[in-house]
Amino acid sequence: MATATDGVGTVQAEQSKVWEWLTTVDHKKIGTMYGITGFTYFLISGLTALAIRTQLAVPNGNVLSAELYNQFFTMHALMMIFLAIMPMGASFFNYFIPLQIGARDVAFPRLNALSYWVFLSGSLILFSSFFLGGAPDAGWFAYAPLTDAKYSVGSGLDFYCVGLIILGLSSLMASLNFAVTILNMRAPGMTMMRLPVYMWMTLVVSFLLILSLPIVTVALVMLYFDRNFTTNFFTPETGGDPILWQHLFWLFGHPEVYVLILPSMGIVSEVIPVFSRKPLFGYAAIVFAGASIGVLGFGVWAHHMFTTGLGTVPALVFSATTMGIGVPTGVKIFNWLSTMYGGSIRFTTSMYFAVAFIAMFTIGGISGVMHASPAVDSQHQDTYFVVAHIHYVLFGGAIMGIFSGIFYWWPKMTGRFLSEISGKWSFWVMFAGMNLTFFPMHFLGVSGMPRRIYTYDEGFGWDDWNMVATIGSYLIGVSILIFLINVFRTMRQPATAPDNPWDAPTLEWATSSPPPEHDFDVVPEVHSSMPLWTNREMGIVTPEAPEGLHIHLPPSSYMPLILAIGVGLIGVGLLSHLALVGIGVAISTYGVWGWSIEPTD
Amino acid sequence: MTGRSRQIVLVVASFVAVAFVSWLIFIAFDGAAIDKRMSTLNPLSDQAQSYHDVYVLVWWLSGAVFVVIMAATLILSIHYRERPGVEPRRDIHGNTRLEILWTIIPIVIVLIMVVPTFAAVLSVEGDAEEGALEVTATGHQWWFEFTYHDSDGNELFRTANEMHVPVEQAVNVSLVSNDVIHAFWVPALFGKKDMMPGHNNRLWFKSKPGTEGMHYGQCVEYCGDSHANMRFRIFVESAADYDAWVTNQIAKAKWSDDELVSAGREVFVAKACNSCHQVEYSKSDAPDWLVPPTVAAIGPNLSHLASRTTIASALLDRDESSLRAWLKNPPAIKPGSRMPNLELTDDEITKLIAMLDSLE
Repeated sequence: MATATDGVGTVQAEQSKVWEWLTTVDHKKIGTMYGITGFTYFLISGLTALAIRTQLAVPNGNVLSAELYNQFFTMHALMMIFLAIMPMGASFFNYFIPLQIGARDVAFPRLNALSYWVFLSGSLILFSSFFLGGAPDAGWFAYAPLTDAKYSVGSGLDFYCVGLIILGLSSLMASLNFAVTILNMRAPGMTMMRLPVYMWMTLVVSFLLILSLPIVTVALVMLYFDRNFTTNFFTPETGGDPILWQHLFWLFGHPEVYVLILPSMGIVSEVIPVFSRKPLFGYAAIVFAGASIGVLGFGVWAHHMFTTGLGTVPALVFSATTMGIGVPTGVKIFNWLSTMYGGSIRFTTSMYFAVAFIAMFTIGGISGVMHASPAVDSQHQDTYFVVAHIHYVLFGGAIMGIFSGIFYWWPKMTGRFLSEISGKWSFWVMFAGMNLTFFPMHFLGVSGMPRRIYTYDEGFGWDDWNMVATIGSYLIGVSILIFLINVFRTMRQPATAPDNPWDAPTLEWATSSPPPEHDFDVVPEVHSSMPLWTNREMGIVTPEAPEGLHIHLPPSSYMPLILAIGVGLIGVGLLSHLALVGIGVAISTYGVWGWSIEPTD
Repeated sequence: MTGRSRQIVLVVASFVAVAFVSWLIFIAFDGAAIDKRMSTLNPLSDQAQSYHDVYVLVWWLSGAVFVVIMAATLILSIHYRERPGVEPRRDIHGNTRLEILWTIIPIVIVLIMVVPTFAAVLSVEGDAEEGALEVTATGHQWWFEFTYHDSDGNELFRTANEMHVPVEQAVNVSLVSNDVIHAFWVPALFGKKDMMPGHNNRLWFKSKPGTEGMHYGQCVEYCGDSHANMRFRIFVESAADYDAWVTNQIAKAKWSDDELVSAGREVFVAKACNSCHQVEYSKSDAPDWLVPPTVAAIGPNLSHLASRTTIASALLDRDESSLRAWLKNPPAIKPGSRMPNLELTDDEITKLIAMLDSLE
C-alpha cells in the first residue's frame, strides 16, 4: 500500500489484495473487517437462537438435546455480546472516530490492527469449541461452582476462559486507542462540548471497558486456575466462595450492558437530528446523561444478585441506584423525542430504525426499572420476563441502533445507497418479528416460565405464547435475509453517493463517499457540534486542496498479525499442550521486537 | 379541517391507538393469572401478596410511562413528517426548563416505587415469628430434598420433591445446596431465593386461609444439564391432614411379606439401589443385609415413596408406566441424571415397582 498520497489520486503499489488487507493499518479497512466479522457471527448466533426457538415452539420439543440446547443458549449470548454487537460497534468506532473528529487515522494505527487480529483469534478460539468437544454450557454468566471441573467436565469452560481473556485483551487495546484518539486528535476548534454525541458515547464506552475488563479478566484467570490448577477461589468445599464470582462477573457484566447500548444511543443521537433536519435537543443534557449512565453503571451490579441472599441493606441500596439510572435514561428519551418536535422528518429506513429504537428501548428500559425493585425482581428473576427485558434492550435497542447506523453510513462507507424500499421491508418485518418474539415473553414470565430450560411440560399454560415467539423469531430471520439481499444487490450497483447525501452536520460528510485513504483533503473549520450546518450558516467555505498536497500516512505492517498469531497460539496452548504456549510466546516476542524496530515513516 | 383541529384529532387518535394496544397487553398479562400452574399473579401467602402489591403499583406506573412515550413517538412521527412548504424549526436547541421538568418526573416516579419496595422487602426479610415450622430444603443436581425438624432443631425425617405444610402456619425454610447453585421458588407462596453452596439462605412464608392444595415450583437458577427437569411441589394442607402426613413420614418404612415385594427388596440390594437411596425399615423387620451402614444423600429417601404423587423430581406422575420408564433408563428422562441406566430386566423392574409401591 502506498505510504503517501499525492493530491487526491492514490498511488497504489503492486500488491495483492489479500496482503493489503492482512497488513493494513487503515482505520477504515480495519473497521470494515470488524463489521464483516461481527455480522458473520451475528448470523451464526442468530441461527442458534432460531434453533432454540424451534426447540421451545411446542412442549416437550425434541429438536435439540439438553446438552446441545445448553451450549446453544450459552453461545448465543456469548457470540451476540462479544462476537457480534461489540465488534459491530467497534466497526463503526474504527471507521468513524477519525472521520467525525477530523483526524487522518486513530492515534495508534498498528495497535488498532492488532486489536482486530487479536479479536479474530479470540473469537475463533471461542467458536471452535463447538467442534472440539463441546461449547461452554454454563450460561454466559458462568456461575461458580457449576463451572468447576467437578461439574463441567469437558473443556467448554476452558474455551470460555481463554476465549474471553483474549477478546478482552483486544477490547482493552481498542478502547485505549479510541479514548486517546478522541481526547488528543480532534480537529482544531472541536472542543469536548463540540464533539458529536456519537463520539461522546464512544468515549464513555471506552472508559467503561478500560475500567471493567480488568475485573473480569482477573475473574477468568481465577476460574481457569480453579479448573486446571486446583486453586480454590470459587469452590465452596475448599473454602472458596461462589458469590465472589458473581460480584466480579457483574462488576464487569453490568457496565458491559452499557457498552452494548451506548453506541446505539450515540447512533440515534446522530440520525434523529439529521432526518428531523434540526439540531439535537439539549446536546449537553444528552452528553451528561450518557456519561452519568456510564458512571452509575458501576454502582448497580448487585441488582443481578437480589436473590442470592445479599442482605437487606445492600439489596435496598442497589435497588435505589438501579432505579436512579432510569433518570438519565429518561432524559435521553425525552430529548430524542423533542428533537423530532418541530422537525420536518424525512422517514428514511435509517430514521425508521432510529424511531423504533426509541420506542423499543423504552420498553426495555421500563421493564428494567420494574426489576430494580427486589420485590418485583424476586418473582421475575430467571423467568422469561427478564429474557423479554434484555432482548428489548439489546435487540430493540442495540441491534435496531446498529441497523439505523448501517443504513445511515452505508453510502459514506461504500459510495452506494442501500435500497430504501427493500430497507423498509426489512424494517417492518423485523419490527413485527421482534415484537412477536419478545413481547409474549413478558406474559410467559408472569406465568412463571423459567429461562434457560430446554423443555417444558404441557399443562403449565406456556404453549401458546411460545409458539407465537417462535413464529416471530422466524420473521426476524426473514428480515435479515431481506437485508442481506439488499446488501448484495446494492454492492453490484455503481457508486453514486455524493459527499453529504443526507445533509448531515458532522465532519465525516465533508469528504468523499467512500473517503480517500487519507480521510480529508482539508478538514473543515469547527465552530459548533454541527460544523457543516454552522459553517453553511456562517458562510464559511472549506478551501480546495492545494496542488501537490502531500499527506503522510503510516506504512502498513504485518507485525500486528504476527503478534496476534502469537497471542492466539498462547490461547491454543492453554487449551491443548503447554508447549504451544512457549511457541506462542516466542512468536509474540518476535512480533513485539519487529514492531519496535519497524520504521514508521 | 384546520391545522388546530387536525392536531387534536391526531393526538386523540394516537392515544386511542396506544391505549387499545395497551388494553390488549393488559388482557394478555391478566391471562397469565388464569390456569397457569406457576403464575406469579395469584399470591397465596402474605409474603407473595406484599410483593404482588408492589408489582401491581409498578405495573401501573410502567403502563402510564409506556402509553405516554408510545403515544408521543407516534404523534411526533406523524405530525412532523416531511411535508411540502414546512420548514424545520432549526432554532430549537433545547429548553432548560423542560429538561429540568423531565429530570424531575422520573425522580418522582422512582420515589413512588422506592417507598413501597423498601417496605415490602423489610416485611419479608428475616425469619418468621416464634414457633414457625422449620424445614431445610437442599438442592441437588437435579432434585430437591426436604428435611423436617422438631422445635429443638432435631431432624425428624427426610423426603423429596414434595413438601407439605399446614395452612396458615408460618414456615421457615433453610436453603442449602449439595453441589451447584439452585433456586427455590413457588410463585404462589414466595419469591425466588437461591440455594447457595457454602451459604445458608433463609426464607419464610405463611399461607393465607383457604389456600389448601398443590402448588407448583421449579428450580430457577441454571444448574446444568437437567435444570429444566428440576421441579417440585408444595402441598398446603389442613392441620389434621398435615399431622397425619407427618406421623406417616416419621414412621419407619412399612414391611410387607408379599412375595413380589420381597423379591423387589432383593433386587434393590443386588443392584445397589441402597447405596444411594435410603429405605429405613425398623430393625426388627429387616435383616442386616437390607440396612445400609450409612446413607449419603445421593438420591432421594424412598422410605415413603408411595405417599408421594410424583417421581423423578416431580417430572412424572407416580404410576406404573412412569416408574417403568424411569427405571428402564433414567438419563433418557432426565439427561445427566446421577442415576445411571442399570440395565434392569422387565422382570426386575416389576419386582422393584411392587416393592416401591409398598412403601406408603
